[in-house]
Amino acid sequence: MAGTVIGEGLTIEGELTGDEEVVVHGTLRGALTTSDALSVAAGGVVEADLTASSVTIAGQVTGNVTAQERVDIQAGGRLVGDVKSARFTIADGASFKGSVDMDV
Amino acid sequence: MVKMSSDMSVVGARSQVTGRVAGSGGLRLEGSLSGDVSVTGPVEVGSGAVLEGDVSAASLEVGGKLRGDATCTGGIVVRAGAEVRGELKGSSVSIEPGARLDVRLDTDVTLDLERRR
Repeated sequence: MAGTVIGEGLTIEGELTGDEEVVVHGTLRGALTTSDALSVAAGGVVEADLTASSVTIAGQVTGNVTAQERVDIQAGGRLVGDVKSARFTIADGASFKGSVDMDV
Repeated sequence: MVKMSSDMSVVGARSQVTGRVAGSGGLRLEGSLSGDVSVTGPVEVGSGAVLEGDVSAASLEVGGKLRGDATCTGGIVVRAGAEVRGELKGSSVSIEPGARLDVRLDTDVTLDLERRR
C-alpha cells in the first residue's frame, strides 16, 4: 500500500512533497518531490516537474523528471520532458520526447 | 473509518500538499494539506493530520487538526483528540468528548416551534 495515492477522479493543483511512495491515478499540476518511489499509473496525468528515487510512468507526464535511481516509461506511457537519472528505460509502445542526462 | 477503494485518495503521514485538491472520490489525509478540498466523496482527517483550508465533501471525519470551514451534504464527525476551528455545516454534526473546538455549527435545522410562529 502506497503512502500517498492520488485517486482516479482527483486533481491536485499545487505542490506535493513527501518522504514516502506516491502513486498517481488522477491528475497533478504543479510539482512533486518524494524521497521514495513515484508511479504514474495508466490514466494518470502529471503536468509537473518530478523528483523521486525512482519514477515509473504508465500514464502521461509533461515535465522534467529527476530520479536518484531510475526512470522507466512503460508501454502506453508518455513523457514529454527531460530525464536526469543514471538508469532509463523506454518500453516498446512508450512515447518520449526530451533529452536524457545519465550523468556520465 | 472510510473504506479504501480505487476512487479513494490518500495523502500519507509523511507527505505535504500545498494547493487545491478537487475531484471525485474520497480523500484520507494522514499528513498535512494546506489548501481547499472539494471532493464528491468522504473526507477523513486522521489523527496527526493537519488540514488548513475549506472542505466541501459528502461527509467529514476529523481526528486531527482542521482550520477552515467545512460544508458537507452528509454528516460531520469530530473525534476525541481533534482540534477544529471554523464553521461546520452538514446534515448532522457529532462531537466526541475530548475534542477541542472553536466552531460555528450549522445543521440546517428548523424547529417546529419556529414554523408555528
